[in-house]
Amino acid sequence: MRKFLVLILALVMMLVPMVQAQEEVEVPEVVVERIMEYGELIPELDHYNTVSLDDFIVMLAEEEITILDVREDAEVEETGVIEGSVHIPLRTLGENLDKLPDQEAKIVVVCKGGFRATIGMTALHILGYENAFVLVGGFDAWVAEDLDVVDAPVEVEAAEVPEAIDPELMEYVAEYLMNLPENWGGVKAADLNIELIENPPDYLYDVRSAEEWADPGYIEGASHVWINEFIPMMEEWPTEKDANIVIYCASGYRGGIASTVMGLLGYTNVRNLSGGTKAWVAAELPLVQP
Amino acid sequence: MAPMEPWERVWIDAEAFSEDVHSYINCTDCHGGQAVAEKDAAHTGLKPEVADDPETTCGQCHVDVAPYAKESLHNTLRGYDTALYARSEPEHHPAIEEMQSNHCDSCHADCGDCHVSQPTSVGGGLVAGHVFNRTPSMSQNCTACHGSRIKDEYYGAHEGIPSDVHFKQRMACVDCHTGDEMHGMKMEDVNHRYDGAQEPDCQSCHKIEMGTGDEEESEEENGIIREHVIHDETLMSCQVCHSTTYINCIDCHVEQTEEGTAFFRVDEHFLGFYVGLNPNQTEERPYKYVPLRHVPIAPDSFSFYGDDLLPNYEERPTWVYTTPHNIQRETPQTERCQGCHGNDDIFLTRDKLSREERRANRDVIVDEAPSMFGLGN
Ligand code: HEC
Ligand code: HEC
Ligand code: HEC
Ligand code: HEC
Ligand code: HEC
Ligand code: HEC
Ligand code: HEC
Ligand code: HEC
Repeated sequence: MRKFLVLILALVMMLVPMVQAQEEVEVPEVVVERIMEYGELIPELDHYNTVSLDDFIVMLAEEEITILDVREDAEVEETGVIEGSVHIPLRTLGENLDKLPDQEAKIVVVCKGGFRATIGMTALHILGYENAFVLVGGFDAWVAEDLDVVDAPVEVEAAEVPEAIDPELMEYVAEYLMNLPENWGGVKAADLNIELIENPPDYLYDVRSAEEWADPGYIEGASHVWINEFIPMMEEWPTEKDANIVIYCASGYRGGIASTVMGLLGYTNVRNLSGGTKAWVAAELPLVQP
Repeated sequence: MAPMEPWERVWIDAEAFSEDVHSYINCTDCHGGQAVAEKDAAHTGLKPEVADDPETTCGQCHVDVAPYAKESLHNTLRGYDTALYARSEPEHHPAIEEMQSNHCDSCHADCGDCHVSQPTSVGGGLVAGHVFNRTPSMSQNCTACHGSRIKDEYYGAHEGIPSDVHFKQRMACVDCHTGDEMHGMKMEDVNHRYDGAQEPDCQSCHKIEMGTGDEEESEEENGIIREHVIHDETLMSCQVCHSTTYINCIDCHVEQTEEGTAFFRVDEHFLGFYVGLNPNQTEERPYKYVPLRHVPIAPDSFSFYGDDLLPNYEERPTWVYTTPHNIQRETPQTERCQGCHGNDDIFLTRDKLSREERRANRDVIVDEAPSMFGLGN
């Protein structure tokens, strides 16, 4: 019996490495530095650099901007794009910085609904593109207003990658984007509720403001860390990099910033509630008041 | 639920399993096969299912569970026999059994399907590294089998229909469906899903709101909802007011692929909410009115296995007793008395049936909605 158990254990041990293959990633110092800087900038950004469709239309009329469409090839082929868009699928963004204008230029990132664009915008900020924005509601919002689309994105000649970008930083961010999970790290409201019933995440962070936490209220079980203080409080983040973490805000943008930043810092299991508490409430799931 | 990776399905968590009492039992005692380190030899004589006879396996130790679980519908699947045999004749039972062994037996739930692995219907796979879970997982066990109908209703997967109030309160299946119920309630001869007492019973948790609990407490908490007291308790089930649109199926047939493999096809689903007369009126379910659900049976459903296997098709209604898992506090029925009174739309009236189905459902159809008389506005 004993001998037999040893045998089974040996067999089982052979399987263990397959599960633990995801080793902790080494995060380069420059990444941490850039994220700290971004954390300090966040409170100063107007609406965290989200742009409503109306403001976007005004921007288009009055300013020189680059529209960066980060959807997949197939989506762009099917629906067309906003006129003048540069198209770089999100996973390949880090490798195609040479197709973007300089780091001071205004870039508005667009995807289907805003989820992926937020990841793209955050990554661009970390890379030093401080005028990166995200279009709220994405391409869907544009189409919902019956605004014009064209078949194809603009062709851009690859130029130079801005010299100011640290090569190590660029490589690391590119690698991160390349490995984004299949569903981009989103979790739907009903699915989160199922998890809360049977295997709750280790950490559930609410990154909205104190006012929003109080009214309309929060998801039971969450802890409150305002996005403006989230990055500076890095020291207090969970020590286990593989902890199961879910972040949410009101519609998904601030949550997207926070989850992207955590992902860049080596957390391997961070997700963002798609559509935030708005989607949660739309699914008639309850919020509680403090 | 994301599908499991192949290695995940068979991955035994050595650390966790070694803390499980069952790790003191030899693998081969449960699984058969041989304890050698060579796959083909080790797998010689493996049992396809561990607990095919719960009494001689798990039941050696779990004497208070196994004998009853053996009689439970999860083990016997007798509910299907009851429904099909009533529409058939004894001479056709062998053909029907053949059909069932091809199409139904993968739904059979043994001890392992709730406590150790995902059911075969979703490809199997260990839920927690071979640890024996005391509490079955809602998403990996229960809804893996009770998928299309109950899961979608409970989770609110149908566009525009909200999830069940109890889902919103973070209740899992087992918060209502206890181990005792799942293990057969110590009942013998269970013939269908609504045999015996209501289990669970909505009232057992909602005495106060129904005004049937401690009187002072009830009134204080609630002020008593008019709808809860105006009708006799036996007039209708809670779901008549608190349930909403659910899925119904039409025309299930066994068909054949090009390679000749038989498979089930349900032609159509439709969403609706229909109140009819209770086909199973018993002491435990005395209601005159209940929601009814259309089941996907047709006279020729199983013609793949023989001609006219369901000669008594019309002996049972095709609209059956149901308890949808989409309980809401507010529904069109709770909104105003006229949600039911004078509203033929939600009642299963004759005109809603196809000609072929009228006879089978003669005992469950409602002539007309209760009148508006005396209700004012
Ligand atoms: C040799 C005896 C034995 C056999 C055979 C056996 N068990 Fe157990 N089982 C136990 C003991 C002992 C416990 C612990 C009881 C306790 O903690 O109260 C237990 C506990 C359990 C539990 C509860 C686990 C928990 O965490 O509380 C489940 C579920 C279970 N067994 C299922 C099964 C199933 C299914 C089988 C058959 C595949 C089986 N057992 C076969 C002895 C056995
Ligand atoms: C392997 C598939 C399978 C799994 C897993 C399973 N069920 Fe079932 N269940 C069935 C089938 C099939 C029937 C109907 C049997 C019949 O009518 O003959 C059934 C019947 C039922 C019934 C009605 C009959 C009764 O015994 O009360 C309830 C309630 C139920 N299941 C709840 C659950 C819950 C809760 C879980 C999870 C703890 C679960 N089931 C897991 C297949 C499964
Ligand atoms: C107490 C009985 C028991 C013991 C001891 C036991 N198992 Fe199991 N095992 C089960 C049950 C029950 C299942 C669930 C599948 C089923 O119900 O048939 C299962 C499932 C499995 C599966 C997954 C099958 C699949 O595809 O879903 C593997 C692999 C497995 N066992 C291997 C082992 C090994 C190796 C050992 C020894 C370390 C072992 N088992 C010890 C009862 C047992
Ligand atoms: C709030 C309590 C509650 C919860 C939670 C609940 N059920 Fe039920 N369920 C009931 C009631 C009440 C009945 C009807 C029982 C009766 O009349 O005997 C029932 C009946 C059933 C039946 C048999 C009738 C049918 O429709 O086939 C199944 C199967 C079932 N439930 C599965 C589930 C599953 C799976 C879950 C989890 C996804 C679940 N239930 C969650 C209360 C609940
Ligand atoms: C349809 C699902 C289902 C099946 C099949 C099933 N169980 Fe259970 N079992 C449950 C549920 C639900 C509980 C209660 C869990 C809780 O309270 O946390 C439970 C609890 C248990 C427990 C611990 C508590 C107790 O009642 O002693 C044991 C042991 C157990 N089951 C053994 C078995 C055995 C042995 C079999 C096969 C004969 C079996 N179960 C089949 C659903 C199931
Ligand atoms: C195991 C206990 C349990 C069972 C069985 C149960 N419920 Fe509930 N129910 C609850 C709990 C707990 C809540 C949430 C707390 C509350 O609001 O009272 C709830 C909430 C509700 C609500 C919403 C109340 C509100 O204030 O929003 C309704 C309506 C309801 N249940 C109806 C039913 C019906 C109908 C059934 C039978 C199908 C049923 N319940 C079975 C425990 C149960
Ligand atoms: C004739 C319609 C009707 C029937 C039948 C009915 N209810 Fe209600 N129920 C209502 C109405 C109306 C409300 C109040 C809804 C609202 O708040 O708008 C209500 C509210 C409730 C609430 C929430 C009460 C509170 O104060 O939080 C519960 C729980 C509930 N019902 C349970 C049940 C249960 C259990 C049954 C079956 C025993 C049942 N109801 C049968 C109409 C009905
Ligand atoms: C969910 C459907 C439903 C709702 C909502 C409903 N009723 Fe009824 N009511 C019935 C049915 C069914 C009958 C019985 C018809 C028959 O079989 O004679 C009935 C019968 C009655 C009766 C006749 C007495 C009796 O018990 O037979 C009165 C009075 C009545 N209802 C009043 C009301 C009032 C007042 C409201 C609103 C507060 C209301 N009902 C809401 C379905 C409903």
